[in-house]
Amino acid sequence: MNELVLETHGLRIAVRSNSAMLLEQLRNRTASVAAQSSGTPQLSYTIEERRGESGLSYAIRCGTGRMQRSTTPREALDAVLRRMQLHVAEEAPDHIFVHAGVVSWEGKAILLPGRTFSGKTSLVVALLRQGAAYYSDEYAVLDRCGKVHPYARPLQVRVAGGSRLWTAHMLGAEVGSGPLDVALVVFAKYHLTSCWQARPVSPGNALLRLLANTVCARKRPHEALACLRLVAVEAPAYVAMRGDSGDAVKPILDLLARDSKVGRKL
Amino acid sequence: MKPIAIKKGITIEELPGEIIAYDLGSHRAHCLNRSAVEIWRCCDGTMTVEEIASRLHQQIGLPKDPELVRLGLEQLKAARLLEVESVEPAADPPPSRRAMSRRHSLAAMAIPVVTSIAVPTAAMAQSRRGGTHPPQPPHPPNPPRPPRPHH
Repeated sequence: MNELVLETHGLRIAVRSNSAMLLEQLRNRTASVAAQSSGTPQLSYTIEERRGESGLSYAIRCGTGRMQRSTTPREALDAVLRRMQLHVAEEAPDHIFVHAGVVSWEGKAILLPGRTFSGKTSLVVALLRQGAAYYSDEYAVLDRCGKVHPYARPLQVRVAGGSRLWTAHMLGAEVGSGPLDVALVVFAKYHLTSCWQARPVSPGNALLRLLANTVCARKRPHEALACLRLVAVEAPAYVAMRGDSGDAVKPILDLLARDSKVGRKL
Repeated sequence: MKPIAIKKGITIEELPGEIIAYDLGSHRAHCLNRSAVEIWRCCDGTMTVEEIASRLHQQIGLPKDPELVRLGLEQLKAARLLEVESVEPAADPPPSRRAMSRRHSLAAMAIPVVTSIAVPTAAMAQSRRGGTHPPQPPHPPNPPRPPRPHH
């Protein structure tokens, strides 16, 4: 078995596989969010490639327990990555992970919290096309001071029948490099026929909505509340209905301009 | 009856004019606006609804209306932030927030409001991939552009 140990956000995770190609792909997929490590891992996954009568299959285990079986290497890799991400998002000792798309505009971070299929990635893509810098399409990684750090994994763009991975550079965008203050939070909900409508929400309401998207909220409520409070008190927050993601970019940047006086008209 | 707030097992995060009350047992979180906070703070088992109404009138200038307090108490009870036995069961449901707002010509923000969520587990909060069609498939990437000047 080959082994790859990855270190990210204070955690070390080993992935073992009899397929060197799979580990190489894993290393490439995680290069932007995790470094290779030689330390002792706290958690391990195994991906075993098996050749059977019906072709190749992949058995995935977490520790010694069985997790699932996949029929393609991509599926196996996605499954392991998903679980690794969740583990890190829940256990990272010094950070709070909130499900959110994040971009920066002129040095100010915009958070777009939302669950699966809320259209986070398409909104992030639309903002990147207009010149925003990429931070994440999945997690706002907040430190104890409430600053947001890059989690610049490849964007997972859903297309009919599956998803594609795009880098920010493929969209002509830069990747953010350092922690930023959060300047705006927009809880945008997609609806096919909606036009842009936004209303401000109070800091308490914003905190409650952020908490609903926080991975470690149940496990570490005190830390989560203290961290989210900083964001909720400092950054104006809005609840919005939106249609096409391209049409939402200007109103979002207008909100940023209005609230922080640093935005610029498109 | 003299309402009693439940504070055991509740962690509080204070914000300007609001609080978040997190129930560590049920993993429900509640946002109390200012009026609801003041009512909850008065629920120490020593004050009647009428006395709480007087206190709110003195402290934050709310109309001295026990119905306004009952509206807050009902929401606090539903959020399990009050000892159920300490709150008199209402003969009639309290007036709606809108009705209360009209009755006293109050801004909506002055009416006690408790907003609640069930805090998700990590797995519930986790994003999934694939499955159904996307809400909105974006266009393919543009060709790379020259880098923007750094701000």
